[in-house]
Amino acid sequence: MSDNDRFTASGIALKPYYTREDFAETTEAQRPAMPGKPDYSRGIFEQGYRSAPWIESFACGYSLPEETNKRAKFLARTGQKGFQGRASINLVFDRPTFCGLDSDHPLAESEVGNIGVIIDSLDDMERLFKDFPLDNLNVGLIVDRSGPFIMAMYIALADRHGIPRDKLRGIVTNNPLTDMFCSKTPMFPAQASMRLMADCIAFCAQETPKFNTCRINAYNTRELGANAIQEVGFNLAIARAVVKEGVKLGMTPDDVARRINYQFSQGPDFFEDICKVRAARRIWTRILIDEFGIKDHTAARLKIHSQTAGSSLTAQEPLNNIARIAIQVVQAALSGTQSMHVDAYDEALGIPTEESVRVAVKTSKIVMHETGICNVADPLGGSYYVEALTDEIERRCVEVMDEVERLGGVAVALDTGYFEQEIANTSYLENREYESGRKIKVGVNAYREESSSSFGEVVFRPDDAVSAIAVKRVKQLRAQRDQKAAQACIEAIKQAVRNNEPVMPRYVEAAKANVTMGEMVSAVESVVGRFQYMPIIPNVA
Amino acid sequence: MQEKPIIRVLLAKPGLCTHETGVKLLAAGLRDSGMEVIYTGVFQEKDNIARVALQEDVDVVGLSYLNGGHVALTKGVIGALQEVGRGDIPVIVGGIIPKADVEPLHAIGVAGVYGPGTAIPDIAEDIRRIVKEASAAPALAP
Repeated sequence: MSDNDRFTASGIALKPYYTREDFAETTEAQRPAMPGKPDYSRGIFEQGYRSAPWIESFACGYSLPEETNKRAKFLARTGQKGFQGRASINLVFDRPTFCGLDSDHPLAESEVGNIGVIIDSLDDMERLFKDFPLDNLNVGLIVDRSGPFIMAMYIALADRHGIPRDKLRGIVTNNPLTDMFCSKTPMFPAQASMRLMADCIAFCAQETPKFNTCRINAYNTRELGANAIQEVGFNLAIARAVVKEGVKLGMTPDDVARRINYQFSQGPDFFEDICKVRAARRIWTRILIDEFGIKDHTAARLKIHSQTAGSSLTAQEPLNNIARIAIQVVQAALSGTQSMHVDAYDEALGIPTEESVRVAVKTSKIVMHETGICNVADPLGGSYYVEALTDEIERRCVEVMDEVERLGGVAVALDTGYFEQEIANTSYLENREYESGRKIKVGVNAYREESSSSFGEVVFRPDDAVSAIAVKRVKQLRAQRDQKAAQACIEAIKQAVRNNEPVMPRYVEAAKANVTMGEMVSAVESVVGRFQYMPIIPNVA
Repeated sequence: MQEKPIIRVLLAKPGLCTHETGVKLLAAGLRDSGMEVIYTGVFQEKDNIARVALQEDVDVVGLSYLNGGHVALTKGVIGALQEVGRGDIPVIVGGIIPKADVEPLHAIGVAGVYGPGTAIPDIAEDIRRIVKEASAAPALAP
């Protein structure tokens, strides 16, 4: 390797410049396609952002539901907008909720409300959505293993307010598969997880047809340390498994594909992170058309939510993050994303402050209105470099997907820890680049300002009293409800799971009978058991 | 008392926090610097951490956090170590630890606190010092 060699972040060797010859391997007629036409590599809408700019879907959530309700209203006042100007609220749940534990569970102690909103019951959902019109709202429910339970509570809330279920719009991430090696929760075993995920997708395809019910969370894979190739390759393999699982429950591949949405990271390699998204749309379109034989090609449009890479932010000199984030927002826009979460510059330190969140919203607005990017679909299309890099990423991602199949498929890869081990190794090798100084992180391993480090300042912390309030509420709820009805609902869940019957309707009934989320999760776990995690550390040297 | 030839480190993630990229890198880095590393993985309850520390006869226990439960959870682990008679094993803490919590962690007996950007070789060096000091100290009654 000479000093003059250059590579993308994932390690693709780069030429000093590119020409038309670098992407001329296929015929003129085949590519580059038109925006809004298969293979959709140039974007899923012909008009790009002319018809509608990206949805601003800023993850928010902490403390008691009424606190998060206040923050969501603040975001709305600051200008956050959903699709076609609707209100938008994108919710992060606290670790106990994510893990399926009520606030009074012994393991939840000292974690209640720390990094997400506390939800134990339908009453909490009522507090969370107060004053938001459920029939005119883009809601994001960022919750995976517990996704079906939270979705059931959301449907129960709509029912309680007389809002037709088919008016509900949004996304529940509902993807325990990525969760098994990324965010990790106390999880049902792989096969049961897949079935319960598909059960939610199938139910909602009927009841809430405007709701996306599975997010392929490639972003979390990247945050764990994957490179762009693994981010796309592993997750398209998982998406393919989701479609197969839905088909097992009697859905058409078109129906399942329409319910899926993707989340990609926009991180520290401008062109590679744009091109990987173009490659992902192309591969996905081909899988659906060639492998699953879908009839309506619009079902092959890969819908994307983008997040600026939290892992690229530094706790040191946090104001520098504003520059990083703004560049990543430009990347997301150029990749043709449908929605976006823009990180706040202090996210490496804790829950963002109102001020930092305001800067994030305004960063999105500045890119939307002050750069001209939204005027033309896929403005990078046809660039020698961009098209050549898209092709190369596509080739490498397909190799990764083939390797997963060769190992025996996604379930085997999950059970054996394959994804996590591969990612841990990538992360280890990359970290070595930074430790040796071959890669530069401004303010961390170069250009450091020893005196101005603000690492460790408390930026925001939920009040310690919230935990006590949440515990009291859930205990009170359990004590005061109709016990006979609640127990009957819990038994009905167990029976549906045992008999492989649709279980989502049982969750909805249970939510209405004031059964808590922890109780629903326990009911399922008593039938299907729990997945055992093994500790994995990098095994390359 | 003589210094053991190879330092044995137990790394653990207590509680529900599963942000483990940092602790995995630390595990590999300490291994590369010649230590023996046992990593428990996520969802560790305090009693389990203490039991592994006892059975594996480790020289130091490292706890990693991002979610903000670090003071209470670390206190629990230190208590559990005392209960199995190994309150002598030094405990270190790393991750997203706000400045305001560094002193409270020292106050409950934590021997070292490492924030983002700490180089792994620096942590390794600190562990060697901490282990040396701990083994030089008079043994505590169980």
